Amino acid sequence: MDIKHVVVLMLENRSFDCMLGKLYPSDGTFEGLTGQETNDYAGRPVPVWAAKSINPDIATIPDPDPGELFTDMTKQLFADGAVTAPPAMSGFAANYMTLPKADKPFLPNSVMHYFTPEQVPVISTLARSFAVCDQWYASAPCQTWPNRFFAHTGTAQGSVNNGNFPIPFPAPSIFGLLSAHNVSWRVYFHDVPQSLLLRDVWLRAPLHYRFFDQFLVDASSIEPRYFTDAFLRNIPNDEHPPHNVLFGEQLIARVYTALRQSPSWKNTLFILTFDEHGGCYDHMPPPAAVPPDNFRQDGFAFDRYGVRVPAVIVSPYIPAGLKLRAAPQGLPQIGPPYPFDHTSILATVRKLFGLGSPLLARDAIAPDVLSALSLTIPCNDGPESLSATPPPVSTANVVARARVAPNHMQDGLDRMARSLPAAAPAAVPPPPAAMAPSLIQNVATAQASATLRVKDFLRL
Amino acid sequence: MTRTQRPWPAFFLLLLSCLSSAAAAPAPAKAVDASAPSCSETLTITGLQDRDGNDLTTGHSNSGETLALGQNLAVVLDTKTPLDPSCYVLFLNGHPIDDLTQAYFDAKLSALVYPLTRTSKNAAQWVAILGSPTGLTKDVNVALGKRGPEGAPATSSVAGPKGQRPAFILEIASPLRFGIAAVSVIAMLVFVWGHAKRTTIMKDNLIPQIDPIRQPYSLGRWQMAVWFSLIFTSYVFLYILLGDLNTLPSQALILLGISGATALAAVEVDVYKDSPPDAVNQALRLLGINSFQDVARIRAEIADRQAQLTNTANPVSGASAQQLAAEIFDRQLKLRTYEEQIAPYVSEGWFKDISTDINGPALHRVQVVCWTILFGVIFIDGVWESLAMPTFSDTLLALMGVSGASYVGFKFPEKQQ
Repeated sequence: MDIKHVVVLMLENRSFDCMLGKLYPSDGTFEGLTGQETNDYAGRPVPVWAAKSINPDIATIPDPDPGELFTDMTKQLFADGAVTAPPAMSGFAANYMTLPKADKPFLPNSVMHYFTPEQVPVISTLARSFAVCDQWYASAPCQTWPNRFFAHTGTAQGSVNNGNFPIPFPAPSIFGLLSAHNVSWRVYFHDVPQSLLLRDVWLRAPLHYRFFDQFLVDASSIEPRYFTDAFLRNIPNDEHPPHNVLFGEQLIARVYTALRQSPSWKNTLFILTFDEHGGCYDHMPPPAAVPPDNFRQDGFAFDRYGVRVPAVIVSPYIPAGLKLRAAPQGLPQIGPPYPFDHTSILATVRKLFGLGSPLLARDAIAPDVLSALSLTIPCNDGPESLSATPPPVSTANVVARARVAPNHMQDGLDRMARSLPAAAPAAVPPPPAAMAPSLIQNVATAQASATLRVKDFLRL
Repeated sequence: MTRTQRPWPAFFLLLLSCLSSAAAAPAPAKAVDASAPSCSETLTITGLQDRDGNDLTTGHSNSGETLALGQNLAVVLDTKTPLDPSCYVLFLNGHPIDDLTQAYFDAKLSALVYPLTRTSKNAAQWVAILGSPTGLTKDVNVALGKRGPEGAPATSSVAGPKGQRPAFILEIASPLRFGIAAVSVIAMLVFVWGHAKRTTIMKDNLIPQIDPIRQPYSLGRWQMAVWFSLIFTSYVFLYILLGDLNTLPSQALILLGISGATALAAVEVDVYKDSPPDAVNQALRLLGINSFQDVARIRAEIADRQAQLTNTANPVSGASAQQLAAEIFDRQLKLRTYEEQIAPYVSEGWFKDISTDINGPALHRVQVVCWTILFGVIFIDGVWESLAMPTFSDTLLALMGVSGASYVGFKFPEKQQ
């Protein structure tokens, strides 16, 4: 196995069942949906369901965005049960209906919706052509930032929600580790890269951060577009509800096709996953996890994984149709063996490039994905290219999306951007400080100012 | 280019005009000699007078009088014998002027009196006299020619002593009319072209948040302005020269129609197509910038806050200063976003604006510019020399229409870029 390039694309807020639950029939080798799963709401069962075809209304389910705060997720996992018991995964529908009233009525079955493989053909094709992992969990039942920090650093340092972090985030990251070992790395982003919160990337940021357009010419870590760009009529491609999943499909297709057609294809490992489930139903209870450190918040010690998220592993060393599992016979509720989570990315990179000791306790026990690369020669070339055609974008549609208040992720990124120094520090980064407060504004304003600040900081 | 006959409505109106001017002219004096008028062969012009007997002959002691179109020219002859005016043709600068049917012999003046009228039959002959004017007056020499038998063309055979042709000063345009016309044309030009740079009269205004002076010029509006200006100026020019209100051919209306339709269709494309400028306009509105006044307001807010921060008499400190600095920064970011986003849509100069799109020079635009300029030059030349607005052939009008339609057609993909 000669892997020289690891590319990670982490999308937003979709559960495994939502995206890949029907990839294969659910049997002993694949933990997918049977179609019989339900959640109770108002005394009636709300079953999982899929639409017969996909259109913009279906592709943006669930709309409005489900609750994704730590308290929401606790309700989704445990309903009204004790948080010490194995999660019953029974409170998704009921929690969804606790959302404040929206512009349009919404139904409890929105979070029970899933896409058929035909409706999300890009991720499904990759999953079937290479490996799908049905035992990959978000690192914690928390929002985006904590989970992305797990992917970068192996810890959220005790924060369960977005935006409560000091800036810069002080935990050592995989990027710092790569630099320390002279391994090159880059982050390709669309508007505001979340990883720019990391303290140990600030010194090097202008050297390592590039807009996604450049990925296609000089191919590491990719961050999707989180904001609607009203000026350029760009719709987010992070798949965060209620963003249309087909734009995410298009991003995945572009990344895969660029990698597949690159001279470095034979030496590439591509990991596609999602940060957290975002309130979308998944039927598999997350097991207990090893706390990465001693940080806690709201009584939570980060000793439980988050909800299962999609994970697709792509490499010419992977046999087609592989179902990657950490525990082939199923996971215990209390490990080991432990499932894959975002720190599996750290474990994989660390092992591949010989980066030394683990960052923290969580990534120390995380399984890596290298077991999926079982072919002795890189002969699985998969599809030569993939494409996806999202619906046409009208100015009216973009304006409608850009007029609304930012979601938690967007608000956090805006606060981060407003907390950034005017330029990346040339010497020692400043000590962590409180982030700028939220501004009541719309997505367009947040996107415009945050993007400019990031460009200034990165000198792009 | 072919020149076609003036359409009948214009001709009819012209005829009415001529008739009315003729009616306004004084009735011809009755012949003092009861004997039948003759067609003498040997005559000599002894002078030129107006109908009141004032000497018009240039070079004479009482010269300086002028005569305008519509007034009477008395060609004084060396005979008291009544002459039949139908035997003679007036020659001005060697060009016969036909259809002066109101001519008569004034026995008191011993002169053949010709009302200088312009009719549809002699309009082309007047062109030689009035065309290509270089001043408000023009020296015109006079001769008479005897008609040949059975309508054969006359030759100028009657002149002054020793064959010299006496001359008078023809007033091409009165200073008063010329002044009024000049004021009208200048006012129009100032209104249309003088404000072209500072207002949106000739600009797209697709993104109203852009300062009018930085708005890009619109090809459609420019073309419409060109034809409007040319036709308006020509109409005024012809009116002061000819006193004719009916010099507007139907083809001028077609030219105005083509340019107007092109501009209107282009605006429709701009307004109704889901275009990048529309997205910028909508996005700027989401930032609270609805018009250029909002940009000015934000600039004023920044200046106001900066003044508060630097006010030594009433210093701001602590949280208030931080708040002010943050507000300034946020507004500066908003302005930067504004400047970055409007940059592709700001004027780069008149010619570049109208002849290029986002990819550089655009053939569909360049051809409209070229045809408009070419036809404009031909139009001006035609009016100057021929004292009539040129009538373009249907083929050339179709060419203008096709080039305008091509431009509008290409605007669809252009607006999506």
